[in-house]
Amino acid sequence: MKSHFDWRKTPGLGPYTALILVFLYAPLFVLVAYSFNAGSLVTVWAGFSFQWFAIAAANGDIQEAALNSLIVAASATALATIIATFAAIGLERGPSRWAGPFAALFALPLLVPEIVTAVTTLVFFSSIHLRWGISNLVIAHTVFCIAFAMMPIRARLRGMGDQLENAARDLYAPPIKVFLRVTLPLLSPGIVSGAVLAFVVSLDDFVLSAMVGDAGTTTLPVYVYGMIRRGITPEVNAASTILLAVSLLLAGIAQYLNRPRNSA
Amino acid sequence: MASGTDGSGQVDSILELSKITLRFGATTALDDVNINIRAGEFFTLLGPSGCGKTSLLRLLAGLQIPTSGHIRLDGQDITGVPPHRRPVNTVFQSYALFPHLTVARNVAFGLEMLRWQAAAIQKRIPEVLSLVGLSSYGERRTEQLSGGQQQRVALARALAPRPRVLLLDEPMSALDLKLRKETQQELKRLHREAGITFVLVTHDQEEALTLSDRIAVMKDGRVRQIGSPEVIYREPSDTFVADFIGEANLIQASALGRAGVAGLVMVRPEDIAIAPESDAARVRGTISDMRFLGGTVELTVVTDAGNAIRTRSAGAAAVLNHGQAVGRRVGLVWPDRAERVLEG
Ligand SMILES: Nc1ncnc2c1ncn2[C@@H]1O[C@H](COP(=O)(O)OP(=O)(O)OP(=O)(O)O)[C@@H](O)[C@H]1O
Ligand SMILES: [Mg+2]
Repeated sequence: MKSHFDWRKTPGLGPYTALILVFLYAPLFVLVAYSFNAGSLVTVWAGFSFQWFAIAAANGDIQEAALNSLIVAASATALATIIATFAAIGLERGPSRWAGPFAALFALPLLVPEIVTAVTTLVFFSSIHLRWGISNLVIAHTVFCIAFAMMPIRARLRGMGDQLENAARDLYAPPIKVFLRVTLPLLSPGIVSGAVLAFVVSLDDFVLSAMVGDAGTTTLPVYVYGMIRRGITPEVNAASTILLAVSLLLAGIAQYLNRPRNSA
Repeated sequence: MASGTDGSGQVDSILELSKITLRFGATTALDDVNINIRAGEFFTLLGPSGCGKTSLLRLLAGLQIPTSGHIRLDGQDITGVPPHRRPVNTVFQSYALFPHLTVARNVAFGLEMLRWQAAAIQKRIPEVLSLVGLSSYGERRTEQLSGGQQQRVALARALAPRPRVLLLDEPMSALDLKLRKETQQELKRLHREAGITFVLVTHDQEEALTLSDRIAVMKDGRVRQIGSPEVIYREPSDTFVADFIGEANLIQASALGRAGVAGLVMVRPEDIAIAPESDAARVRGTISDMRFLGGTVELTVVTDAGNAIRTRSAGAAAVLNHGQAVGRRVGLVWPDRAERVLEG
């Protein structure tokens, strides 16, 4: 069984890996670092300060954009997670004949280029004269959030197997009780991490929000993009850093909840 | 109570399976199975891996619907009744304890679903936990228990609602030998005390012989024989059963010089005695192997016709000179009642 080839011993692997990591994370590091810049340039370091965070926080437009982002992300997450949970149960526990095609259908938003989704959504909404303001954005976000939310939920359902649900049925639990007393409690870590994933994806979305949103529904990423066009100050960095921190925190929570556990 | 002939014990049968067939696509898991299980008996489904034991148990629990055939419980057709409406509980092969509930809450689950009064549930929990010797474990989480303890929780949980029938799917296969023996005795005691019909699935013939009132031997989705352990052991219906239960010598009738008898003659190793070659031995041959098994000695004798016959006895060592057995010529004898002629 012993193989002589060990990819970990490839010459130059260490430096190469280090280079890639630098390439990936240096921009992020610079961005975060300059959000603490005391000066007003994003390229010249002038000492440490929290002032740009204070300025960003005091900016009424940023506040509004942040609020929009939160409303959209929270609503889309709630809707997408509920739909994804039932869809996952249908795919994993329902007739296997339909599981394949439907799973592909649900995963499609992950594969279709976002710009295509954005354009078609925009055209579709205007052709049916749907002008619900921020709700338009919520609907658009919900659709692609379902795909993300479903991944951890489905994985957990599959990992659980149907043994415990069968045991509950055997112990006189009607279908609704099986769901409430066994499936849901055991599935909850998957549901929470699915929700967090959906929230992060929605919060960070730019293309769809920029296309489908209008003047009153600018989200934070869209606003930050606008700021850059008006000239970059560390205020942009500060706003981005906050967005980054929230995303990382939530992604960390999702990871933690879905960590593999050594239970039988 | 349950020895003697089997067959249509219509009078006191609690579970009747008639003409059960179960197919998964092209695979036939169960093929025309007919079994009557009597009220209060310890019934065992025995057979090699993949013969359909678990499938049959799932049908009884209602987790699976047969492709055709009928299941009756207390005379009522329950073939399509969902599991939560059947007074039948299962001890699953992997125990399937709810990891998010304590031991006591696991035990209470079935009772809560049946809407027992809270007071009755609180009374029943310690009752069943003490029945399986886990009185002080009520507040533990199931993950903190050993395999043997988890198995007993699964038993307690299934016994708590006082089902009409308790189904057990290889409940002891995950336990080590010593624990398995102890648990077998426990099961026997629980069966006596609970007065419930037990249906056990196992592929361990010794376990089946020790525990059961009656055994159904299965192969490839079919029932080959149903009977008490004595009947199954003494009067196997075919060579598969003879070979699967205990050890059997299967000798061509022609090799024994039986004119007009077709098929195989079965003799158990312990029924065969070593005799001097000159005697009126049934067959003669040469000892090719000798194994000392503690209480008994196992000899393999190759007959002049070329059959290898195994014998096992406590007395053989005395007949032979110690250690000098291999290579000696001997005769083999056995009483008429020890042999059984089986279809080839
Ligand atoms: N859900 C299923 N889909 C397809 N085939 C199945 C399914 N369940 C069981 N089978 C097949 O039915 C046959 C009987 O399986 P079953 O699990 O009842 O055997 P078993 O006697 O319990 O075996 P073991 O001792 O290994 O547990 C096997 O050939 C198996 O592959
Ligand atoms: Mg099985």
